[in-house]
Parts: sequence; C-alpha cells; structure tokens
Amino acid sequence: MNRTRFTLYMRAVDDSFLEEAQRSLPNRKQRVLRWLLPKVVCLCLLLIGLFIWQPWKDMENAVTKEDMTAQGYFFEAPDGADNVAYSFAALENDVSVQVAQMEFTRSNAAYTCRALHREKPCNITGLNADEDTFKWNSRDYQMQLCVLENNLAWISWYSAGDHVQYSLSAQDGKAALLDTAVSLLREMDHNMALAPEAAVNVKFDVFTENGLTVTETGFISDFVQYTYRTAATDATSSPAADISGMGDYAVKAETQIQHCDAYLSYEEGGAGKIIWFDAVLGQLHSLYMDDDASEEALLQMAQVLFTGAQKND
Amino acid sequence: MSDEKIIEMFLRREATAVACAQKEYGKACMETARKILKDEQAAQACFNEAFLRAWQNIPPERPVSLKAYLLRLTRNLAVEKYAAGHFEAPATELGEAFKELEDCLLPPETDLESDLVLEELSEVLNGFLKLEPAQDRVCFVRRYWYGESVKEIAAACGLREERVKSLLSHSKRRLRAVLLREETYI
Repeated sequence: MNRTRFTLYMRAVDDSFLEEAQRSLPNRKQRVLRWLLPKVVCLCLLLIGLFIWQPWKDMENAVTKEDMTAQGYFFEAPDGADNVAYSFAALENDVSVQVAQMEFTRSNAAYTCRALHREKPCNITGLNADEDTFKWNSRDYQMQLCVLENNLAWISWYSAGDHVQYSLSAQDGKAALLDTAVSLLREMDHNMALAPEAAVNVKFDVFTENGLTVTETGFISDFVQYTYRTAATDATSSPAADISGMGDYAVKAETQIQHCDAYLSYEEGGAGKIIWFDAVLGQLHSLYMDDDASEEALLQMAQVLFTGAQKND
Repeated sequence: MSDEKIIEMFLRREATAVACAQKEYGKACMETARKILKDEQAAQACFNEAFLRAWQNIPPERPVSLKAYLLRLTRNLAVEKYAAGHFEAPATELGEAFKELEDCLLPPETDLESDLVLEELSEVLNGFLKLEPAQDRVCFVRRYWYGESVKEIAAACGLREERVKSLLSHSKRRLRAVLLREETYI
C-alpha cells in the first residue's frame, strides 16, 4: 500500500458523501413497510370497492335468454342489435308485477323490449298511452303505436295465441322504432303486414296529417314502387278520407276489399291509387303505385296487405 | 436529545452543547476513530479534536445531521493522523478496505504529487458516487472511506451481509469501468 495513493484516495471523496453515509437510513423493516404500505392500502381499497360493487353477484344474478324462454317469453334481438341484456323488472304502475325485459342498442339508439303474460292487451311500457295512438292488426297480433313528446315512442303487440303482451320503446323517432319493431318481429317469425314478404327496399315513416297519425310503408315489388298508408280514424262511414297524398287519375272505379268499400283512381299502365276504409276497426288505408297501374294490380296488392293484417281465424 | 435541539444549543453557544453531543454520538465517533487508528490515545485525540472543531464551526455551519457531521470530522482527522504517523501501525479495517479497492485502481506511472491527479481523481470518484443508487453509495462509502466491516454495514443499513457484499462487488465493478473509461490511474 502506497501512503501517497492512500492519502490521495482518502481525500478524493466529497464531505457530502461522507456525511450521507452516516445519516441514519431507514432500516430494512421500515423500508419494507414503506414499500409495502401503499400497496396494502391500495389492495384494501380495491377489496372494499369490490365488496361494495359485488360484480360476482351481478354475474350470478345475470338473466339469460334461456331464463326468459323458461318463463315463456321468446325474445330475439333484431338484426344489428348490440349490448343485448335480459332482466326482470317491476312494472312502473304495479310494482308487484315483474315484466321480462330485453334491452339493446341499435344504430346508436337504446331500446327496451318487454313482455308479460296477460289475458288481454295492456300497456306494459311504463310510458303514457295518450290519444295519439294508432291501432291495427297484423295477423294474430294486435298492434299499437304511440307517439309521445320528445321523439319518444313505443309500439306494442299482443299475441292472442300465447297471451303475451310485448312492447318496444325508444327515444329514437317513430320511423326507426317501427323499423326496429319489424326487424324484431321478423326474428320472432312474424312478418308485420306492412309490406309483402317479397318486397325490397322497405322503409317506414310515421307522421301526422290532417290530425291523423299515419303509418307509411314504402317498398318495391316487381320493380314497381308502392306506398302503403294506414291511419286510425273516428269516422264511421264511407267514403273514407283519402290519406294517400295523391291527386285523382283519369280512371276511377269503386270496388270491395273483403268487407270494406274501396275506391280506385289510376292511369292505365301508369300511376294509380286505391283507398279503403275498415269501418269495423276504424282504419283508413291507401295504396299508391307509381307505374303499371291497373284495377287488377292495385286490388291484388291491396288484398295482400289487408289480408296480412287480418287475424288468422 | 434530538439532533435539532443539540444543534440549537451549538448555535446559541451553550457550553453544555458539546457534552450533549458527546453523550449522544461520542461512542460512535470513538468507534470510527478506533477503526482507522487502532491506537487508543490517537483515537481519543481525534475524538477531542473533532468535537472542538464542531464547536468552532457551528455556527456558521449548520449540519443537516449532527451525527453524520461529527463522524465525518472524526474520520477525516483520523485519516490525516493515520497517513501522517501511523501508517505502518497494525492493519486497520480502513487499510484492509483500501487494499480491497486497490484491485480496481490500475497501477499508474503518474506524478502522484501533482494537484491535478487529486483533482482528476476527485472528479471521477465523486461523479461515479453521484450516479450510484443511494443504498449502494452509502454501503460503498461506509466500507471504503470509513473502513466499516460488511457485518457493521449490514447492521447499520438493515441489509443481509450477502446483499452488502453483492452491492459492494457491483459498485467496484462499475467504478473500475468508470476509471478505465476516464483513463484515471493512481
């Protein structure tokens, strides 16, 4: 060992490091505690949060489609539905009654579909059923469409065969609601009688005209564009109001569609319309075709649509 | 008595300040001096000198840790004494520690009397220590500049002896790399 090297070496380190080395360092236990304590606190908070939240309880209690089927409710989410969730919920106006519920989103709108075993049609939407309500039949289903304020609307159908009342509600506009309802019913093997089964480019609209709530279905069949409108009315006698929105054409004729008086107006081979009034249900109907019109063509399509709306007795 | 209270007594120039400091840290300072000198009389002289210097320097100085400050003073005085007159005395812990570190200090053909050598070595060593993790640095300085044994360091730092050995070994390896990179030879 060289004295000069030793002295050089001993003098080379700053006093700050010499002092630091003698300052009391937290001992191992303290350091372990310091390292462990925040983690233990975080873990405790997490456990408390989990205890309060109890997500496993939700998972245990999650209602499935099978649970619905077991209760006699046959829900099928429509095409394009996301975030489908099933549950049983208390009915707003009678909390002792549990309705089966399927919630889903479709085209960024939230929908609630409900079902309840009932001997006769009733409102299970939890929403008002004001006067702006349109009722019609679609084969075995008694349909009802109700338009409320703030773009809120609901549609319901009662299946007389299995005594189940269904409803679909959304704050999504009437047309979109109707479209979703048609899709949903199609999944449930029911083709709503607003367009023939082979029709393409089917579009729905609901609007108010002359104080009437009019449901409009546009579709193409055999390359001809049709517009079918229906509306509920208080009127009881023919001739019924014309809700087609079209003027008159050169050829005019009167006929019958089942028990209803019907009025035709068309250009032979061109555009034409037929309107009829179901005095039993108080429903106005109109069908317009933009080409190839004839008495036979108009009557044939009107029969298809109107027959579809009748009960399968 | 707490560090803060004793320092306040120094600052107020209270005569009992030194006695209080000796009561709290006298034993540790004496141990430090003994470790370097191995001569009871020389160690006692260092001890007395350290407390005298503390009395003279506080104020204006105001140490963060009085214990560390006193130990540093004692150690520096002991090293000076060791290098000046007791170099051939029986091997001390510090002497052993230096020998251990010599392995990583390459043999030089340098003018050891030049102030530049001290300056350069200081720069490299302090630069190296600055970059070391605090725990590694404390162990390293305690071993190689205070001459504490691995057992003493382990007890003081709350570490296992194996861990201290591993920290020292890694620090030595890094120091060698730094010295090689900086081409510092003593």
